Amino acid sequence: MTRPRVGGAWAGILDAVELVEDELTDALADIIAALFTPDVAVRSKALDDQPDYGVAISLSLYTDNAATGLRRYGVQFRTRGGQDARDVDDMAEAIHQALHGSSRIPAGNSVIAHCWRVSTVSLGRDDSRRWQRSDNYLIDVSTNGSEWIET
Amino acid sequence: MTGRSSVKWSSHTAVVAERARQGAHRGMDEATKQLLEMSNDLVPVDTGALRDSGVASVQAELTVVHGQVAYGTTQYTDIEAIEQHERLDFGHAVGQAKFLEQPFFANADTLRDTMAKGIAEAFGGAE
Repeated sequence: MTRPRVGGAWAGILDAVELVEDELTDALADIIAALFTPDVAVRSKALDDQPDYGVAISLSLYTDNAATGLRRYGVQFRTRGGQDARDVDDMAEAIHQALHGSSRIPAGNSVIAHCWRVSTVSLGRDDSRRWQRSDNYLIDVSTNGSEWIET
Repeated sequence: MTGRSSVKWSSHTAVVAERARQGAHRGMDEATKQLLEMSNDLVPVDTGALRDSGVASVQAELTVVHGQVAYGTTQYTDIEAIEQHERLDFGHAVGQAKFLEQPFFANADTLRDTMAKGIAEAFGGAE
């Protein structure tokens, strides 16, 4: 799918921001997808109605330090399971085990220096009686920091 | 030990502790109001009930001061507040999701400074 691009003098800057966020989402999606069987959809921002089981990953930029190249993002993992609430709780727990307290995660040209969960809340059932919940993490990202990776 | 030329002072720790507690309370009060104001600029508005349900509060214990900013404090907004805050896929004519979390984390340094200022002023400081 071809996405619209911004033209003019801002094009390069906005493309760079988008590229970083795409790479972060891709890196996190790879980690999440590896936790589950292929019938669990891992998507950016929103889930389709099917399959029932899925994880939507959304990034929100909170701080951006131009001098250091460090950014702090909020990352929401919105999980949806079946009609047994324990399914979605198990999914969220697996994500927590994989990410909470993790560090130095390569993400394209950036590095997720630290990742930790800050909140979690049940979103109840959707119209198809599938349980949902939201787990929110903070990630500190070095956008120019390949040196953060241990060699 | 005292000599011929000496300076002696006494620090009344109970007074110091009480001033610190009062300053922390005042600083927290200011910071929570500040955060509520920031959040009200971002909260989705349809009828205005969700925005109007926003409350900043401070609760002091003996050695800890707790601050809280909350939405959904009324019967008709309690479920709505969670959903509107967490559903990033909703479209809003006015406002956005993460209307509380975003200003809290984006302005953490400012809020911390406000709390520190409350304590400093309790001891007569200018900061």
